[in-house]
Amino acid sequence: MRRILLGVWPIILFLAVWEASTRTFGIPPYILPAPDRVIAKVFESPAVLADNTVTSFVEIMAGFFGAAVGGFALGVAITYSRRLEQAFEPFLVVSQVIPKVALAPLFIIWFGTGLQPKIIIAATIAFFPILVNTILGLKAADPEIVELMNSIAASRRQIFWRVRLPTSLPYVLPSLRVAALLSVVGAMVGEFVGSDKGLGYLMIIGDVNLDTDLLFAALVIVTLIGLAIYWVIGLVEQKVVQRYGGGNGQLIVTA
Amino acid sequence: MNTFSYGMEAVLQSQECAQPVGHGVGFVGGAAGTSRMRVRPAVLMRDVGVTFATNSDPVVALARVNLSVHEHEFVSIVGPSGCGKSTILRLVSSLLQPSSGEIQILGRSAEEARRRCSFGVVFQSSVMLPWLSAIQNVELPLEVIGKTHEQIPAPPAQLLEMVGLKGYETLYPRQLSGGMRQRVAIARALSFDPPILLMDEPFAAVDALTRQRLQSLLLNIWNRARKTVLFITHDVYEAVMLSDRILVMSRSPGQVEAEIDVDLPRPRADSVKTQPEYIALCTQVFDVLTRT
Repeated sequence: MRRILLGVWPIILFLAVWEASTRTFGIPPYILPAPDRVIAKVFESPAVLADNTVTSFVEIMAGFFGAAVGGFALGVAITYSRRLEQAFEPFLVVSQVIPKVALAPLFIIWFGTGLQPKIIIAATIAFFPILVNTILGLKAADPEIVELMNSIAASRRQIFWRVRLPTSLPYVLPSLRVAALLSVVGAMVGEFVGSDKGLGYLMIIGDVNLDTDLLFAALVIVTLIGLAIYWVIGLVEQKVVQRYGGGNGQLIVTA
Repeated sequence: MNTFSYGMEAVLQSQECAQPVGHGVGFVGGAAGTSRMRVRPAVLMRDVGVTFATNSDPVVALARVNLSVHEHEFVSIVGPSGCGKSTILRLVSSLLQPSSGEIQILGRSAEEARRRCSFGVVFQSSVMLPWLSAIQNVELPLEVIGKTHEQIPAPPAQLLEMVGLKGYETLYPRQLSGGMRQRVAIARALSFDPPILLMDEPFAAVDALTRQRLQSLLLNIWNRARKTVLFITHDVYEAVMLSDRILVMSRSPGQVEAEIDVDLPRPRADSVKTQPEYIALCTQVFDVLTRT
């Protein structure tokens, strides 16, 4: 409780300064709306906001889970197949360099303006950190433990479940946390580029109409979604680190 | 001595695993010593060579190694670092294939012996799974192999008691000292009751006092179970203290330079170290080592 209070204090202070400065300096609301205006906006048309929030949330989660399943599965495949690893190596390097968000317009052309392209963009951005960190984690198994397992004729499957998978968790979970946030970015970018629904769409509408209150309201909701995902995965991660160790997992991220 | 419940019946059973019939004789931890040599070697290496391919010239790790370890014998391999001692252990445990020559474990190929789980391995660093408790680490081989507690002479809890870790069963590796972790590693190597124990400088990473304690522990266990032990070390005193026979290796390319029988009476206590025979043997080993 004390810790929560300590965490909340700076936020309250920040909002207070924000509120006070918009009033004292007379900043017009279309430049920077005060927090009370943003909150009022949220409650002014909750149905519209809720509707668009659901759309974005679905895109984010679908993209994230797609990336998690795909990234992890391909990571396992690449770790276990020398040939696959060689085949994918150039793609992995390029994937680190290419700005994935720049592919968004292309996906809109290919898949239209529905949910699909946003999910694909979100998944594409979230995919690579999971893939790379899965490979890193699976390869991080102590070679002596693997030798020990080999000395008692353990099968590859047994080594995977008993050694490699648990070793990889402290690498994979932080990458999931980052990937979840990247899929938020992906969904927003997708909505910016071409959509008729979602929080990103609301931001664009707010922008063209100089309805900055709306823009901020959508922004606040997106931030809350991000925080919630971050918090949930963080909880799981904490449990995993307690049991399987951690801190040694280096995280590789590109957007 | 009877604090350990790793009793005689259990050991007889274990010897049956090593060899199917009529082999349960001649143990009971008396001062039996090396007089009872078995005919069939537990480990046999004939003209074994290992060459590693590198970018430049190939490196010869082992030239021509010939050695045999009899069943129930405790054999140490000593040698300067980089002489290929550990390579021998990796060959025996079939983690590495020889470039030439032949290896037999209990009359089978090393690979076959590995598949039959013929040996328990103890490494220098006590490799434990950090997310498993001490007892879970000891149970791991049983689970992997698929042996039930009925198929082994001593359940994991009893083995932990034998290595002096009663009460520490549920602790995790990070909560154990280096010496304790090595005790777990020994218990784990014994858990599935393999006929052969392969030890790669198991006490090199612990402090002197702990090392001495672990040596007595190993002697105790050996006196009871009489497993065949192949023990790699660079510590001459340790080798003389523990072994029936010492193989001294020469610097690269590795070869067995000399073979020294250690006919000190068993069971051995620390007091053996003050005996002139012990000192003479140590000097003998050192002589070979400095000559090579």
